[in-house]
Amino acid sequence: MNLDKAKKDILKEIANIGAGNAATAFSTMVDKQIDITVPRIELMPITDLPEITGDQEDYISCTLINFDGEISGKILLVLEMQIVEKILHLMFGEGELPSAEIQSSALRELGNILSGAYLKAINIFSDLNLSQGLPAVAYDMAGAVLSSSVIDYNQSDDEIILLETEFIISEEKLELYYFFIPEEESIDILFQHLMGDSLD
Amino acid sequence: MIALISTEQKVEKKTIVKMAEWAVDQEDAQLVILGLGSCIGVALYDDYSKIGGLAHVMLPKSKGSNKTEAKYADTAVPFLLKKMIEKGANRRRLKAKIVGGAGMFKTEGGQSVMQIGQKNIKAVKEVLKNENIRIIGSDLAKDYGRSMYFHLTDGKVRVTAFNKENIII
Repeated sequence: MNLDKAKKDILKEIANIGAGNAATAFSTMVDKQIDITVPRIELMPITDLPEITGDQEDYISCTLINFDGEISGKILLVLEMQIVEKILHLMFGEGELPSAEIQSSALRELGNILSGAYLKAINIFSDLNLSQGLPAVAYDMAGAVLSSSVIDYNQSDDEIILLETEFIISEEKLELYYFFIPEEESIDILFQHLMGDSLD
Repeated sequence: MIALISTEQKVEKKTIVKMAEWAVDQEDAQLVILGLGSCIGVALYDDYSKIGGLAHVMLPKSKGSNKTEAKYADTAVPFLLKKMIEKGANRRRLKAKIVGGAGMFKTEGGQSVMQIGQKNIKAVKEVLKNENIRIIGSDLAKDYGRSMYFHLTDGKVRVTAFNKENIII
């Protein structure tokens, strides 16, 4: 896989548009101002994935959503475990939190809403039809969770392209990592679609 | 002058084996995998020469040409065998301990979404059987991540997980 500047710029644009829309949806949901970072586009060996959020032994929550349609891939929403409780309080209000099952449900829903908004914006921008699958969630060591997330990609080489955005609730000092990871063949389709004939 | 701390105390050399990587070492050494999810750590040990090897397997089957032998169950085991024999291990003495193969992600209702952990377990068991290597210890499947610490002094493998008692296999 190669990623020149023009391609990188296109992916950056996609991440910006997607995350912008997701931030709006998130903001409406928790009634807080949400900032997003400048997206980072990275081409990396799949084996570096366990360390994208820091130490691979950190305890994290990860919501995983498959998307498909004209292009396919996965979305990961990663929260450090200390952040999860704070996010849940934003969703459920102060006071005692509901049962663990309902908490998991809420995290899946959060993933659903963010990725729904993200994909919808890409859909409009690129005119590619995309739909999302059911969210799944895992809480565990970052290494164990992240290494298992995109392991079933049918890749011809061992690299993946990662579109990373962080959502920040400054008032609360909360950060959420959002990763959009298209499959290898999808990236070519994406470029063909957006760059047209200029693609070599 | 009397030394307060014995300088002769042995310090184990520690090697972290990342995804799709492998390591072979001998005695006074420790081979470690942090954060195994659906991947599998395959530990082979010769208890006479105290040579041990560890592969961090990601997927069941290779697709032919690849440079990362340890990534796939079907290529990782023969490759690790070769490297251990080169170092002086006796093939007939080798025994295996395997760890990992969990299903990490669950949808509403507790359904596991990817079956890759199960497929990995099946593939690793199959290739070990074909190579005639007996599995003498394992900690597999379920729904949580594990770290494994393989001590080459005695061949013991310590398995740790969040909110769980350590186990020794």
